[in-house]
Amino acid sequence: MAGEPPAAQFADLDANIAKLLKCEPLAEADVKALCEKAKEILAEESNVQPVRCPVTVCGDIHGQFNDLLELFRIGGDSPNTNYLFMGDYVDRGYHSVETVSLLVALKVRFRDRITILRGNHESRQITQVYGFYDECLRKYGSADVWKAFTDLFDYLPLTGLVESKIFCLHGGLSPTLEALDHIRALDRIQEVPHEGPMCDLLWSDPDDRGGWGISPRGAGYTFGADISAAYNHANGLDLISRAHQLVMEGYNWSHEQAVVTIFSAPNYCYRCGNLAAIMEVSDDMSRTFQKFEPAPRRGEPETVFRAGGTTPDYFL
Amino acid sequence: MADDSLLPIAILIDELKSDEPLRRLNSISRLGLIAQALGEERTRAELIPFLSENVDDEDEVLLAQAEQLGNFVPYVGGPQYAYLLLPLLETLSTVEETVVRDKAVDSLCKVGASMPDAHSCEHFVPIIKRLGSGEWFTSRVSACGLFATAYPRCTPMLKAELRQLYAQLCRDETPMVRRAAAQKLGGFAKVVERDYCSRELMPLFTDLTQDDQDSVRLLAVESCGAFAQALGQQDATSMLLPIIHKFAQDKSWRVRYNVAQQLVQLCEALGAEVTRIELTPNFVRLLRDPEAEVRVAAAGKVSAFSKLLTPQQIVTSVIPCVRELSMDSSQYVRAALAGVVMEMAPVLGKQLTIDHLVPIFLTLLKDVYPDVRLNVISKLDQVNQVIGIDLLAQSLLPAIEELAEDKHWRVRLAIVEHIPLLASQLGADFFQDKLGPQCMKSLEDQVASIREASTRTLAKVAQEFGPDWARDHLVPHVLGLIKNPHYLYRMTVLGAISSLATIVSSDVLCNHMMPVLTNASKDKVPNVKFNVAKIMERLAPLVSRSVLESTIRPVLLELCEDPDMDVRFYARQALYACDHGPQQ
Amino acid sequence: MDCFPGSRPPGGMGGSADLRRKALAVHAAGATVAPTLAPPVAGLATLGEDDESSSPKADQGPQAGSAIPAGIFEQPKPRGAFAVGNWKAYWDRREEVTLPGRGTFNVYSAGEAGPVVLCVHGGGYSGLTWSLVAKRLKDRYRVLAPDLRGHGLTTTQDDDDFSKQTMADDLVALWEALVGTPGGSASADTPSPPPAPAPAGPACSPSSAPSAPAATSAPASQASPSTPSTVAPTPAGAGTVSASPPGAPRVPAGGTAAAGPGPGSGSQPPACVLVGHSMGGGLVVWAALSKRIRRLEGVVVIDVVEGTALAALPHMMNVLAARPASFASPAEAVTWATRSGMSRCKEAAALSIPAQLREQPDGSWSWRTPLVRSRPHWEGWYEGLSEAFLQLTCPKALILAGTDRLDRSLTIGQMQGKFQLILMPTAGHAIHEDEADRTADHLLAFLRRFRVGEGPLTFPKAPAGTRPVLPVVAGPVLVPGSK
Repeated sequence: MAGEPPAAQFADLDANIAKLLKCEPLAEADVKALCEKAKEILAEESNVQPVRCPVTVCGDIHGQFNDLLELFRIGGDSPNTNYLFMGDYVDRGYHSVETVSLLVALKVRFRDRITILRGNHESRQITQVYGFYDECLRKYGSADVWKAFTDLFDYLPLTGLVESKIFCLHGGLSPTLEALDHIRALDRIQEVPHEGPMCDLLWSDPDDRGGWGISPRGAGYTFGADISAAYNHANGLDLISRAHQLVMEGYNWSHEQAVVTIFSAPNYCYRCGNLAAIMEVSDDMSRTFQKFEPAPRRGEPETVFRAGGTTPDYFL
Repeated sequence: MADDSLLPIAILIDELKSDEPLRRLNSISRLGLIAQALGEERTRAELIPFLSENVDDEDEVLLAQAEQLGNFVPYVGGPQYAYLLLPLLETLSTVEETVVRDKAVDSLCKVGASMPDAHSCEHFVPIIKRLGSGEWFTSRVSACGLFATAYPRCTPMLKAELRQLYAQLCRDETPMVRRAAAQKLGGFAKVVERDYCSRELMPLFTDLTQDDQDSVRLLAVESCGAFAQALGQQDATSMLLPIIHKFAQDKSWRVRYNVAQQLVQLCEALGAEVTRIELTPNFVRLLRDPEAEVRVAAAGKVSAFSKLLTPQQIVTSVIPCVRELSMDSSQYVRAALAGVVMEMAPVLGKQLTIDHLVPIFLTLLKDVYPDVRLNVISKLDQVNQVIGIDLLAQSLLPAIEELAEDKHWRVRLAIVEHIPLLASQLGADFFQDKLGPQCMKSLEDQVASIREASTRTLAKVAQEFGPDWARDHLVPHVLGLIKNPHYLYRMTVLGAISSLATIVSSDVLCNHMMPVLTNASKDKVPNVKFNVAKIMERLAPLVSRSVLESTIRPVLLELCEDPDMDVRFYARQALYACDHGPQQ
Repeated sequence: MDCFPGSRPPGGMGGSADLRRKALAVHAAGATVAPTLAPPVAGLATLGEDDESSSPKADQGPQAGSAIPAGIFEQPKPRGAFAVGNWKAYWDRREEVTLPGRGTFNVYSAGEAGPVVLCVHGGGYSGLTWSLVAKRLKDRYRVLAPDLRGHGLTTTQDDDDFSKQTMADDLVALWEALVGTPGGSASADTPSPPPAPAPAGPACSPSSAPSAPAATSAPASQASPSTPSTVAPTPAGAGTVSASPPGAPRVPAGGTAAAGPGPGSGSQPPACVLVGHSMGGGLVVWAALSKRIRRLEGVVVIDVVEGTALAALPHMMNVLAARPASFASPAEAVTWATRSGMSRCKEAAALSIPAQLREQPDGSWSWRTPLVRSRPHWEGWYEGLSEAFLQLTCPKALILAGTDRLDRSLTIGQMQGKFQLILMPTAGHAIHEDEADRTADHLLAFLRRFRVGEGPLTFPKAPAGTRPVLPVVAGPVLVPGSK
């Protein structure tokens, strides 16, 4: 064995990860290279990406970078702890760029230690109005980085399947996708459509009412306990684990424990006062939830209305 | 910014005239670039007049313009042309929007300061006069901010005029103007000759401190410090003390809040003697203020203020208040107090701390609000320095044991991090008795950071009590935990082995720890396996050649063939290190 | 910690736009600017090209002034002439609806058939604020846009009663007069006039213009014993065939809605969606909450959120004061609105702004609605609005210019998927004016998606018997123990 230590090939990537952990954005060229590499890796993953236990399952992050670090403080660092993130890394928070850069960098560095699924915010349309686009523009002076990321988002897997038992996805079920194989058959490499099965997976919500319903969100459907039970039964699942909805305690059971909602952005948007949670699935598939509060803030505003007059110029 | 030089300037200029505010804003914020491209002459001849004709714009555009013009002196041709910028800035300093005005005043001062003295008298002072006697309050407000810049460079006659004008502004009928005058008075006092200061400005200040409007008084408070400096200690004491007394009892809580914020600085300016005699009662009053916000501000100053007093005085006047504050109804008051109260210990000395402060610490340690507890714990070492660990341990240990179980994880973490300090002072027996079990528990805390911290804590404790002690009392416990069914906890054991390895004897390392590691290399979870590889890399230099070859290398070689890519990577990395010596 | 240092009280109290203007004029006039220097040399080409022939003068910066055309500052900023728009190009007609005990309300309408979209303008605006949107909706929906009390061409008994209750009741009464069917109102105890029978009531009073043929349906079925409302249609231009809007275009299965019309009621009223902007957004929520509008199948609120509205209120008097008090002409007002950035769509401003003005005896034009007098009611419009909005059981959409306007309740509600949030960051406060086409697109999508006026949805199913296709992009399937 001559020459370079094995770690040398990752020196740049490791340095970038270290930089990101300090909440410093990467250079534009690095982001683009990272996204290209990530595309190659993600292209090989399935629409229903198999995941091994043990793994820690997390919900929405939404650019709350300091809270993502808090999540790692609670759950353990990557790669020591295995993670599965169920989408919505960007928009709303102040550090979408750093958040998504870090998760993608970890994916490239440790592809088997971390799984990153697609959320409804991993889309060109949504990020243009909910903040990620503006943040890229602000931090890089052009939309190129935004384009690199949103092109990459097309490759993110739609769902993950832990040991064939826990079905993880961002939103929920679709009336047109009765079997996991239906999902596997989708051509996912595209922008999230306004409607249709792929849209539903990223937008639907469980509901107290039975059957299917039109989602009040304007996309996707609502599905009742009967639908979840049938789905789990037909596909041999124990649990549907999803994110997408804010729940005040960080996680929330529904449909008689057939569905769990996990939300990992504490005090969402710096104003909602909710706890965050993660679900640790152990070696033996037993599940533990950990709840956490926002990281103590430095530099980020505690409240949303900036002092000193940029309140909207409402004309009553 | 590099791209800017390539922007067609003509387009930028066109945008200045655009219909859309956003485009105008974009262009205005590159005004320097436009001026540079135009050259000095055309900037003077065309750009400045153009801007002067177009001051009726969106506030944001005006704000950008006001800001840009502050740096414009070089673009118009240097200080001798600086006066050309004044009319435009003067106009901007009269608009309705406060931010624009403030920025224009800043820029006026910048431009004014760069002008030759003669120009200052000829062009700058007239602006002050015009604004100061302006019809609209906005201009009079702006005028207040300009005096300090112009005054030092004026003839005595002009100086007298300026002082007179300022006096007029201090008595203006509009509260906004008086507010500005109160706010800027301190800065003005600094440049006015001491004699005039006490003879002319002091009465103005006194009037402002009695203004009907609390917002005016509030700003006057802020000028106190500057005045104290401008007057010299003697005059300051006699003239300012009565004012401070009155302020501390002001009927507006916002004024009192400001006093609480400023009091320590004032005390420093007025000297310890005055503080002890005259100001302590004021401070005590603020500590007992009916308004929580005021108490928060005052509580945060307890230690800083105490440093100006004798220990006896602290005990008689401050401590009783502190005791009350430790049970204050507002959690914010208690948190503010908890953050600083420990700093009183060095001032009080050992005995007084034990008698008076320790009971207060204990109260705060049991506070229901986690921030309060955390604030106390994070300052524990300061008390330790004063009263010694024995006393600290005796009095605080029960509370600490309770806190180790706190439901707020940062409190538990703080305790884990303080255990080595306590252990080193209390000795092995005590540790084993009280802290040891606690420490072991932390290794299995649900929060990853606490588990990590407790492995570091174990290493420090082992270092303190020696390898034999560690072998007998720590290692068996730690290694026993490897049976945990959850991989994250098994990995904590690996972390603990890693940090203890350099402390324990080679015998313990090779005969107790190594078998555990070898076993763990066959764990079903890849994460455990690659951590074994990482640790073996660390341990390789610590063991003999034969152990390396007989134990470590075979394990690593096997891991190199693992189906998991990360396991293979770390194993190869460790093997490389074994062959080439440690990296870095 | 919520300490309030309070050392910097908000400045800029009092003062009006006139004051500001005057101040500017005084000082601009009082100070002569830079001496005129020699006329600038005419330059060549555009900047950025490295043209060696036009070498810069030595004493000037790296980029020579000579590269910039002379006289570039001479044209004034284009202050473009703005025409005043004609409402008839957008609406089919306007009607004057007299509501007993209330007043005579001016209502613009467009479209004859389909579910009703009742559009409610914000404070100071008028029904014409919806012109561009109405034009896009009228083919499929019947758009109604009243001038509220104290606004536009509406005259009431008390034009200064801007209270939430009165104005929300106005809306319900208008709905009853224009849309609702007799006996439909479940709330018999309300003092408001009972609904007029059928859309165009029998007591339709021809006013200025000769009445178009009135409704012939159920003319005398006045079950309720009180005075009917009157509706006086004012046909607009050509093409208005009838002032009688049809009844419900489709008969929903099962006859009555769950809200249940009272005994003896006739047919169902058409489905209705309420759309409100700003103050009007508040009012539609309060009106919807009264449950007196039957077959209410959607509520759309545009750019108003309790938290931010309440936070903005302290500044509102300043905002109002900063507006010019009067204009020489409506066109000048349109120019002002466009130039000041208040309005971002000239076409919409040309319709909306003139309708907000009223000519004064001296020939000048000032604001029609004395908004300052509505001050006592501001808090009332907005307090509790977010919770009320979330409580509505019908489909809801909130259209905002940006997410930073969401307050806590609505952020939570949105993030729990309780309503549809539509963002249009390029618009100002009057989103439906600034981005009329996109607003209309979204409204149409909303109406379609939630099947307003239509039967329930049959859900798409996976085609039966289709064999699932196997993975297209198959990942490495991890089999335990595999290498």
